[in-house]
Amino acid sequence: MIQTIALTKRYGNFLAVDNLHLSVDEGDCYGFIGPNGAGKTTTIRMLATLLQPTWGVARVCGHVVGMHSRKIRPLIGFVPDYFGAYEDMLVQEYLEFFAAAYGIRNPHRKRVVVDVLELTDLSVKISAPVNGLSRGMKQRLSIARVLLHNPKVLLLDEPASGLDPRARIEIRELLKELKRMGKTILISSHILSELAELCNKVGIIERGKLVAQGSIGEIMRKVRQRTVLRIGVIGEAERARQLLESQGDVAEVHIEDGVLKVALASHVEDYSFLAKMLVDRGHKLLTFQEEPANLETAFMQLTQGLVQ
Amino acid sequence: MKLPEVNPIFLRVLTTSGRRSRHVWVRAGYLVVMLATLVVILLGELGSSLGGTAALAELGEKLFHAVSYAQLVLILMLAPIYTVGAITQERDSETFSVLLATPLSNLQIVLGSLLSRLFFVLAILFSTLPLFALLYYFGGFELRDVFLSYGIAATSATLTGSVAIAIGILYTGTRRVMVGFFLFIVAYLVGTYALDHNVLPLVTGGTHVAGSLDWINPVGAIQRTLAAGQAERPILADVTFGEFWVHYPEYGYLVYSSVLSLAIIIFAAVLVRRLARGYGRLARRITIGLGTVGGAALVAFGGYVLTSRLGTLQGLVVLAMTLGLVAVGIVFFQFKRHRKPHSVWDNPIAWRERTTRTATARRNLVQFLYILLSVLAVYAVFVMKVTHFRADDARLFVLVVAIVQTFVMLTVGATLAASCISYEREQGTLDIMLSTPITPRYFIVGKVLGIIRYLGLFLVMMLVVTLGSFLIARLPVEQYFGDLVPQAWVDRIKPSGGPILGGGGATWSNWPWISILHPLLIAGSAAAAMVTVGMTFSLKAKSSGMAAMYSALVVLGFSASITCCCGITAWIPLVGYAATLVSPFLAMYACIMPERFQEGYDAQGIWYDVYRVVGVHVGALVAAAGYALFTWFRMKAMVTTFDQQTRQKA
Repeated sequence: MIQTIALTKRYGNFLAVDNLHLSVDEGDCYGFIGPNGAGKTTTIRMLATLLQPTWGVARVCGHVVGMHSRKIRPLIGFVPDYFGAYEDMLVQEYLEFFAAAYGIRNPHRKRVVVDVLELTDLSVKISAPVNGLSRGMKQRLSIARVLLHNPKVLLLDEPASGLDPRARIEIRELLKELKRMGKTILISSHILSELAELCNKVGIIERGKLVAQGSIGEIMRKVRQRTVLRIGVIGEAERARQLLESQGDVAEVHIEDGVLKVALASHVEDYSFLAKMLVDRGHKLLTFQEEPANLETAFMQLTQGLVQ
Repeated sequence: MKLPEVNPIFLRVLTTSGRRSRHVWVRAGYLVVMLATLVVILLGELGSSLGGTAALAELGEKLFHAVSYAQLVLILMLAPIYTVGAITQERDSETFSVLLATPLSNLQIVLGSLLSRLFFVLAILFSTLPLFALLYYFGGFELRDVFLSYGIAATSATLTGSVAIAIGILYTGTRRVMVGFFLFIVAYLVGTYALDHNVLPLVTGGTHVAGSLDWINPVGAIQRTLAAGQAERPILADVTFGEFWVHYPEYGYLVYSSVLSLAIIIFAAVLVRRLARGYGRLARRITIGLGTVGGAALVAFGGYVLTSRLGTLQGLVVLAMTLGLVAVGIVFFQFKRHRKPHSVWDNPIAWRERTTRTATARRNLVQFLYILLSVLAVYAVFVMKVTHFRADDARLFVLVVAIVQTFVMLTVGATLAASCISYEREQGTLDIMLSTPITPRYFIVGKVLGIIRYLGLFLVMMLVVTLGSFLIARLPVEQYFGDLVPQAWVDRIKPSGGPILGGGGATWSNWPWISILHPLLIAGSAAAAMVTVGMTFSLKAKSSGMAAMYSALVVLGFSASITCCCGITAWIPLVGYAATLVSPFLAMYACIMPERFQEGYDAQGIWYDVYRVVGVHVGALVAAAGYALFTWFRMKAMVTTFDQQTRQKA
């Protein structure tokens, strides 16, 4: 659905996006991660036909950006990293305005507006002035706007930025609903835990270059070659550490806040014998679990904090 | 290099803003205008003899007068532009709170902001010193006049800057403050002048001598400075405090503006941190309270003056009419503010321009004032008819109203268009629009159509004035509606008498339909052209404030230059008369007062009359077609370069 081949954007001597190869399939929810200034927004703006690539090809729904931009625009919904507010409009006018911009005629237009307001849970605000809405509501209104013409692809640039926890959860639930509806979503965000919950694919970008791409599992495997266990025992943690270290399949053990962090050797897949051994030796187990895959860890390991 | 211990705000603005090429261009433009003023005066004097020192001194005096007026007008135009952003720009870039959190004192913040901006204005002002030095060799004026001329301009700039700072502290939004500030300055200059020269002499029955309040108006003050040698007045040492203001208004203005500036600076310094600390609501309440008390006092005073001058019944009627207008204004604004959702047109861009962007309080105010003044103009024509005013004066009045209406329409159209794209860019809505299927052609045409539809009301009000005046002139309205003018007014302003609004008889004009329809045609097409000029700036400029400023200057330059050029070419045989109509302002003159406009033509006879009638039709059509073509070509050029321009800004 979205494909970029050697996509490059240069502003004079400044290379914003460098030889980017992206691939997003239909129905995917693709999380685009990177530090500030990494080139996420530039990439999304190129896909939204707002910027012309300096080099390379970007395809959206099979159409090439720059050559078939007019065919792409009806197929995408773009939410920028700021709320573009027509502060003198009411909510209904705002949505009708954009519906008209997408060529939706009356009386269908009014029906569509009511539908998207219902979907985004903004029906009660239909006659409210746009500039009177809270930030979270404005963001939901932005998403309502891009749903008016039922696009196949949604390009969302930091949709949860600056929102309070409740508004963030509301937006996340809304995006999950859109994912269920079969939309292809490309979303950039700094809130990695939410992306991990929402996206089936992620791409990590730094200094305009894609440093990793794939499913979250694949990314985790790439950054962490071995399994890490978190084992909590009642008392005698030091004796348990010594016991675990003596095992050949254990590569490294250390204690963090009374909990044992056990790194297994790379070839070990079945680690249930460790639990049995600890119980047999008289230790009382409180917790025994694999440390979950953490996108933040992956992000920190894959990026070097380099900003252009 | 170690920086000297001066106000850090002053230093920051000076070092950062001073690098901008804009200041050099403005300074160069200022000098060019001043030199052009000199050249125009000199060209006008080419025919006259320059022999002898007396003639040379006379020429020097004329040049000095022209340069002094030009200097004051330009400074009054430039000072708001430079000073208005002093606080509001800090607010916009969110550095104002940071500034307030520093150990800088209130006075340091206010003075630093004021003096840094004022520095550029004064630098421009004093760049003309060599020009005055050169003129001084001609003679005809004294060094005292030069000092006063500079003093009045400099204190006006300081007063303007102080007011800008105070407004910036009280209100937010650079664009809104800038437009409001300009309106305030124009209203102050026109209002105080009209109060002194027209209103007070009328309501006091001649007790008030026109010019007594010149000390509160810089234009009046400079007038009195330049006329100081012509009028007898008591020696300065002999006058009392009260007489000082009447006889020496030029010095009075220096004192008045300096004291007022100081008071405003202290007021701003007192408020600057208190408002930020949360006393804003209290300050607003005090402002509203003072406004209400002031309004009530004004109404009571107005009622007293009107009833004592016009009689109880008629005075109350006029007072009720005035209050009714105010009430209509309030209802008009409230109605617009609490509106129901409008249905969007199939062209959403045009709808947005016409319905929501122009429905702001500022646009409503402009529209309301335009309607109000147009209706008052028609009423004034009616009063003139009832009081048997002189025909030429009445028609001249209609001409002046039509010219002002045209200028306002051109300015509003251009400045509105100037922000139509740049403002979308600032608000972040342009990107969203560009990601929709809307094409550049659709976008540009939609914007132009929306603005032209907004200007439609202005054209309708022009028609109301010209057609209304024509009907008042032709119909015996005074017989049936004469009571709408208080008899006391009729007694007071009744002139010598004469035919009403007619050339030779009781007619409106030699060519009534020409005087009604052609001004609309020419002004409408010129306004469309100015809209495209404003849009061009909007597409290119970095901010809507800059675009609006450039557009307003272009309208001013266009109005002056096209009128000068057409005025010069008017005397070319055969084509000159038709060419005159290219200037919307001369077109008004040619259409509304044709017999006076043609006074310079020596040729007579039926064929020449035919030529003139044909000329005015051809001229109007050619002018309208020319503006329409210009509009079309500009739109086409904008459509072609739209993507490139918007991507450059992206």
